[in-house]
Amino acid sequence: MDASLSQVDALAISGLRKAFDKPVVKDLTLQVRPGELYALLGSNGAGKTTTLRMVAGLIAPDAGSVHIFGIDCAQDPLAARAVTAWVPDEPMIYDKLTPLEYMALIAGLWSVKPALAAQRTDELFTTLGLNEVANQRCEAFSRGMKQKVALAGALVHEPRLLLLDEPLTGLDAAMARIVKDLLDARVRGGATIILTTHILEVAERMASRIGILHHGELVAEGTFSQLQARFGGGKGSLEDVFVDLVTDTRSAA
Amino acid sequence: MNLPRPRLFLLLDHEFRLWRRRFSSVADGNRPWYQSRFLMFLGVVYVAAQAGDFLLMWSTHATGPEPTFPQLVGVDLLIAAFLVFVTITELSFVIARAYTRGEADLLYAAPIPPHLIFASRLIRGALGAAPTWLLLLSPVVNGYIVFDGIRYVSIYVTIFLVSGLAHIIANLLLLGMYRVLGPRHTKSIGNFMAGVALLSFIFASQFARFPWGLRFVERLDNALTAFAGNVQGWPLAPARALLGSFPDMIILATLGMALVGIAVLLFSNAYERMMLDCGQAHGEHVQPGRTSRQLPVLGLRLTLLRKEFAAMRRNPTLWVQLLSSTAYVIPAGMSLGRSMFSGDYLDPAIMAGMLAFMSVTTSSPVMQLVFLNENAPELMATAPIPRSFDLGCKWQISALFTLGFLCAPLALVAWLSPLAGLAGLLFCIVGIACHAIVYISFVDQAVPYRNSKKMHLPLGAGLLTILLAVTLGGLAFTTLRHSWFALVPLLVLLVMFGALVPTPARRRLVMGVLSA
Repeated sequence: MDASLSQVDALAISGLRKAFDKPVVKDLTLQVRPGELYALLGSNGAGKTTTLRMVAGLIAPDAGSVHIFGIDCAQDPLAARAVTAWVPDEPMIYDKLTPLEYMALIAGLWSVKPALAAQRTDELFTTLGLNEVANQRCEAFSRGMKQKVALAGALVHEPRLLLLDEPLTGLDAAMARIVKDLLDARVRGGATIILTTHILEVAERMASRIGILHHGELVAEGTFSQLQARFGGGKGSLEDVFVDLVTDTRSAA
Repeated sequence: MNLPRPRLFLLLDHEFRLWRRRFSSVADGNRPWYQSRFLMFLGVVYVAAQAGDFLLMWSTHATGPEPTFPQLVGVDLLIAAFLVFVTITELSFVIARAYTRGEADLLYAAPIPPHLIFASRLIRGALGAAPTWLLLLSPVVNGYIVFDGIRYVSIYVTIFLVSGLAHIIANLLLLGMYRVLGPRHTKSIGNFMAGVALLSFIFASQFARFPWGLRFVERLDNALTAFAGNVQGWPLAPARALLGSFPDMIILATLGMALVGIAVLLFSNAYERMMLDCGQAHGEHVQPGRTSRQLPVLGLRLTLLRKEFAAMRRNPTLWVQLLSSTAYVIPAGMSLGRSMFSGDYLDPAIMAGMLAFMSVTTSSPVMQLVFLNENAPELMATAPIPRSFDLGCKWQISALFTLGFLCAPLALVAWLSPLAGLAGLLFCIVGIACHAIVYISFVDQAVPYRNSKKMHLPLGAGLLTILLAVTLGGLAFTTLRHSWFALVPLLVLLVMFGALVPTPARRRLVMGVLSA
């Protein structure tokens, strides 16, 4: 990896704002360092998905800036996209393509060399148990299966920043474990992951840092132990901290 | 005490509510309420104008001379053709309905006898099949009413009855196909058959335009005149109903109701099996075996083209829609061809309207590609490629498919009549040009807003642009009638909207030229 790039934040968001009918994200500022697994938590409608979609370039922010590894997403969106992968909560794959064709499509779009793409596909399919359905069209797949194909597609070009919106939805317990191990391995390999989840145990066990959004504002951020110390009196689970925090904020609001 | 409503009425109420909401969602398309109300208001004005027209002509009620045997046979054949045509279009509708997952599960899991569900479906479908045709044919029918008397209001009744019959027959055909082909193949083969049947039908309907077709009609007419059959015979009941015979209308209505009754008695259980099977039949299509070691990674352009082509090729419903939409171009195209290359005069307004119709029709593939085939718009939006690149590939593939679909039937037309074939070539050019218009003014802006309210602004702008462009093109076309120079505006359109598409700067240039 380029040494100069490792110095900059993997993601730097500054003063990000977005409103639809009402404000959804309010002056959000956060930094994610390279090699972190950052869990973005929040209740329904807190602005997590909107934030990630702005980072992915799918929604234009009303104000603020997003930098991915120092690249200004507004100035050079293609360069930003080249190092990023986005996996939404609804798996976005082509029903009429097979998983293998889908991987070839992604490899072509991100200009991965054929031999390298084939090797990575082989590894990912073996890990995610997709070899048996590699030549079947995706239209007959269950949601969990589609989620696995989408995840494999996101990983085949080895993105430096991986944005995952509820990545474990629809997966059985065994497969969820495999995916968690896969994400852990990516983080150890130097990739940065930002994920949203409602499964707080996942964030508690896996995340390097956790940010909690409430009504579009970042109301708390830190490692699990820091959050525990600040909001949970040094004990309790992340769920306790989260519920206390959201309830407190609600009351204050 | 409130008694529960009979279950058939409950089901019918459910079916009609869904139908109404489907119609209203098409009508308003999530537009702001005032726009949707405005559209509905326009619809009401249209219907009211037609009704006013009808009432004004009430005084012209006149009994015409008794129809002759050849005339009745001709009308009968026309009704039969209409029945076939509506049956084909209804077949696509009932197939789509059968493969809608979830709805059948809910209904058949309820403690309701299956014959009530089948009956409610048939009745709703039979009644729902007619309004479109009544509306589309109303100007023609009103013409008859205006010029030939009030008794021709019977045409409305007959259209209503025949459309209902067509829906019932389409359901029975679907049941037959399911029995023979099974749930996995019924959708694709059924849709394909419907598309081919529609294309054949439309092509066959044009045979009288050719000299040999005209000769055949004359011979048939002479033969029928010589035959002088019984005008009161039962095979001519539909024709008599259409021409105002009340007893024959009763016969047609009775036939429809009897068909519903027989279908419900005999096929309720089969219908239940079909609906439950089809609702879950997502066929496991296996492509030729490859391993991940043989991943076929190509360059960017080829990757995108291959994706679009595969998605298009593997979607039989899309094929049928394309086949159907391009099929409608043939009659309009042949009329334009005759007007351009023969002495027949076609009004400029009609010509412009035909061109508008053809352009919208031939532009449908690009919309299909973007809105039906594009399952992963966010993937393309987050890929490190310019959006115009992706859309350019979509345009190329949709243009290729349109050309393919248009050229095959038009080659046959050219074989029969070189001039009509030449006209066909012009329409291909119009189609490609209009693809580009849709592309620049609609699709490009609409992609990020897929399934959102914002989509309708570029949609409206795109359609208006098409109408404006082809109206101008049509007028130029008419002005230069009988001249090869008529090719010029079309070629200019092609160059403007085809070759200049891919970059935003060029798009602005084209839009500027259009505005000017």
